[in-house]
Amino acid sequence: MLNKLRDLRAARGWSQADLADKLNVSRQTVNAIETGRYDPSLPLAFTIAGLFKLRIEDIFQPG
Amino acid sequence: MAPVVKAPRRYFIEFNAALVLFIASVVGRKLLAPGIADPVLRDVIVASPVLPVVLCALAVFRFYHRMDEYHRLQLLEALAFSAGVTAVVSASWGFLEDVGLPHLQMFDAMMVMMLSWAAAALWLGWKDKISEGRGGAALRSVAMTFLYVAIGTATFGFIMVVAGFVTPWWELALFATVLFIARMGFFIFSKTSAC
Repeated sequence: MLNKLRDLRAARGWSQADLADKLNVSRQTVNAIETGRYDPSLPLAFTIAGLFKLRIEDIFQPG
Repeated sequence: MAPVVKAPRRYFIEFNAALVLFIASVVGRKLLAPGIADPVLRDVIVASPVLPVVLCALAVFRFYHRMDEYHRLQLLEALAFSAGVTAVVSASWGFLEDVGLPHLQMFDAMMVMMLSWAAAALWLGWKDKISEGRGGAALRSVAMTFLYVAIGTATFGFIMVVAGFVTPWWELALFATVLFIARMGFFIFSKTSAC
């Protein structure tokens, strides 16, 4: 999966740790998602989409 | 701070508390058991290290439920790898015993499982750090891991010698393995990765 998480996070001026804190995940998990090493579960994808007030498909696209 | 971030430190505290209890029970049973006439009480004291071993497993179980989904996947991948290694090693060794290899105890299979689990989990953690461009932090963590295991095992051996016991190699190996597991969990799942 491709995702725009890094861009969305940077646009808000958040660090990986800030985003991790808001999502209740570790910083390593945010890094793994941003670098494409890990695709989040559907519940986490919904949480991410909710945080950025976007739809899941606006953030994640098939690679 | 998100609850998931506090999980590694809580795990480290719980696991090390169980370790202290483990040392106390291993030393205690050697000190007390020979002087106890009641066979039931003696058996209970001799079997007492089982309790801290169960507590160690509980600490891992509680940690599993506190970590996030990515780390759960890593933990399970490492566990699956160790199950495979243990199956291959134990099955192969069993057949090779027929051609002269020494007979091993159940303890040895457990040590193979724990060591391969810890090694796989460490590998996954190091891979993460290197992919983040934090090779220096990974190297420091490797050095700290060896220091932690070596100093901890030497301390355990020293306590046993001072208490007047000959410590069999497997007891030292078991202790070193348990320390390795404790360190592995903190290393991989810590927030800063620089514990």
